[in-house]
Amino acid sequence: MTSCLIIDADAAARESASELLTSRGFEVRQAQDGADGLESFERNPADLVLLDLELPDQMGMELLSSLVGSEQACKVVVTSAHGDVERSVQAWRYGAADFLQKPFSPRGLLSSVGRALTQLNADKQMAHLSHTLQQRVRDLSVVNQISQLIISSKPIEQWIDEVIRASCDYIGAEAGSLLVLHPSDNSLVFYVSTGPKAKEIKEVRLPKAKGIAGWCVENVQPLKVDDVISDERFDSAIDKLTGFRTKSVIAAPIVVRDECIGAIELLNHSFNDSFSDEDLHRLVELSGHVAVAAHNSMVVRDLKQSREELAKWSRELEQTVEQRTIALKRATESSRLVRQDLLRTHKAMQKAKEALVEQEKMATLGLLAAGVAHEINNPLGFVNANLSVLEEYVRSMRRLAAVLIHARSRFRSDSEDQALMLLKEAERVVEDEDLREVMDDLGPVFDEMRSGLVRIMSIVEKLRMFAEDGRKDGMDDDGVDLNDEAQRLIELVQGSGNRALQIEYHLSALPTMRLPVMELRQCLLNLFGFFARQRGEKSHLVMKTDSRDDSIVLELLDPKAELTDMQFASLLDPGIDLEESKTSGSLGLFAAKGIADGLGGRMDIVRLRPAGLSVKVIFPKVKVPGEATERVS
Amino acid sequence: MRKSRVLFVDDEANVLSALRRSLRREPYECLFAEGPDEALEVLKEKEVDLVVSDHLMPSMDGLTFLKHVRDMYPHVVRVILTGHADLQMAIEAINEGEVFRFLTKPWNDLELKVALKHMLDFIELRRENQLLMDTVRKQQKFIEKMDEEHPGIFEVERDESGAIVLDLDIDF
Repeated sequence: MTSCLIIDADAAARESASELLTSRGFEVRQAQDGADGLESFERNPADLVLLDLELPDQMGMELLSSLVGSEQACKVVVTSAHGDVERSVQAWRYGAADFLQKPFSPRGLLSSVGRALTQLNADKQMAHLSHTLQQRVRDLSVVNQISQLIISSKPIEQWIDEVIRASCDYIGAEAGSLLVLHPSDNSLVFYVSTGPKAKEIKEVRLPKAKGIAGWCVENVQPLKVDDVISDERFDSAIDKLTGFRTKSVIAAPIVVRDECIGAIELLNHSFNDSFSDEDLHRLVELSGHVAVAAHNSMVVRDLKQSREELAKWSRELEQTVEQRTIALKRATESSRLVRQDLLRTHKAMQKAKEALVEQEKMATLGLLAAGVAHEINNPLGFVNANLSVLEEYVRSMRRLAAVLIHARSRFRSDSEDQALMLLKEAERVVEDEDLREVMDDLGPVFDEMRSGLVRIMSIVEKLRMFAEDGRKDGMDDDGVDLNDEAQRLIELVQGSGNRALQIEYHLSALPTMRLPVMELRQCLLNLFGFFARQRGEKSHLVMKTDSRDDSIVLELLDPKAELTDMQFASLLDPGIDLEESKTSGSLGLFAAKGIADGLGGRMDIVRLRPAGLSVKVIFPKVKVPGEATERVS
Repeated sequence: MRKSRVLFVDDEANVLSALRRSLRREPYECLFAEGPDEALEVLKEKEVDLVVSDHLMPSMDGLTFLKHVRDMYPHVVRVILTGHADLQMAIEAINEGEVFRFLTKPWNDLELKVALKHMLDFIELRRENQLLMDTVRKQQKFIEKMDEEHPGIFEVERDESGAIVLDLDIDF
């Protein structure tokens, strides 16, 4: 209800105004002079004063001045029976809201009062706005302060003290704390505190769910408690510890990266019994800023840490690079030496390999020679023995002939008795020397010797064939029949019939090949040598030849060969220890392959299951001259 | 006493007949077989002192054959006669005790005869040696038996000068 004080010496005027205003809802008081009016106003200020300037104690203008200047917001409407301009202007100057000339009509009074009240409301609104503005300015100042800290990216421990202190001042609290959730046991630690007992609670720990702050962190919600005594969430243990008496509390959680890391708690409003909702609201805003600042601080810390680590790694890397560079230089040097060594070894190996292949060729020739020797030695043996026997036969016959000639001479000289005796002597010689048997044996002796000599000659003939150099007598131009070559070589290798390799032939008609014949023979010889040595002298082999579109294939198959994985894998390895691997003669295969490659052909080696070894030599139908002959030494 | 017997084994008939001719007047009996199987048959039937075998034969090689002979008839002296002059094989054959001599084809008649004569002489000496050893053994047994029956009968007592002391309880 709007209060109104009427100060007027004229009782009738006071009454009529009072009556009118009371009827319009005003609470009206009256005073008959200036002193009375001032005293009434000071005792109980009024929103509106109706002041008549013509007071008995002549205080009109002074009173106006006092009323307008008082702290209480009030509006003064001045009345006067002397309505001269000078007075009215003076009244305006002194701060009157309106000037009303007596006598005034009720309407005039109400109109005046209405204008004064409008002014009063405007003033009050202005004052309120001004207050709010000031508050906002202060808020902004605090926020600005915190923002500065946030922007500064200083470590949280350097600025959080200040922020908590600023918060206390700003919201008006006796004490304040930042509690941080300890990651190891989820307890709440008093990280920073301000207020009279700040030192006592530094680093004190609270179980997570304990106290107002505990609830706040647990539920991630702000909380305002006006009277802690009546709130069961309040934990009085800290008060007992410090001697501080907590009355009211506001608390807000600090959430960083969706995780509550602690809370800000303010205790006891400095002026009021409890905190307002606005205080809580401000605290929540502050906690948001603190969270952002903490987050920034953590990011900065992480960054710093990362940078330090990076720098450390960089240093380590540089050191490592330096060390590696040195090691690399050394390694390069030693690898250069090793490479030289390797090159030397490689050359030596190359020579050794060539020597090995050459040796293998000779070994195969040796095998051939041994076979040939055996074949020649057998007939030589009996021809030779028979020759000795023939000598004996001749000697016996000469002895007989001598006796007979002597006997004949006796017949001529008519000493027949002596002649008869000599004939008897001749008979004795026949008996003595078994000459009847000798005569019977002469035919067989010559037959056997002739057959032996024929055999020797045939072998020599084959050998001569092998000794021919095809390139000299133009065999290359005539071409080579692989079937003929292979068979003739096998005859040489196997000797007579059933002694060495037993070969089962499956031969197809082949076109003549245009290849260097000596190399072809060497290749085949090494191949047969390999099989002969591989299986000993009783190998049973299958030899197949086949003519294909662009190649001629010769396959040698040992159906009984049983090779282990290792033996098979090392078949073409010239360096393998032949004694251990039991694949003696691998070198022959290696040499044969080398020659086949050199002739532009290739060799396929296949192991059969459960037993058997097949080696195919595939020659091209078109001769590859030049390079082939060059590559085969 | 029976004549010594030599068995020749070779798959080549011409070789056997040449040997038969060469050795027809030698003082020992020559037997011939055209392969190891036939030779083993002969060994079953006749007591043989010396076997001369070829090496390269179709059914069984000479060394293997002679190994069988050694196992079955240890006293028979074994000789290889081969045209396959493989030195390594010869060394192994002799070192492993398979053969007594290693002869090569073509052979020299005289050398062959001399070699065979030496070996037969050796066999004869060995046989005589065996007989003498038997005699010695028999005599040793006799001595041991006598010593058992008459202890000290073969012991001789000597004085410092080496003269034999006759402990005769005879009055002169």
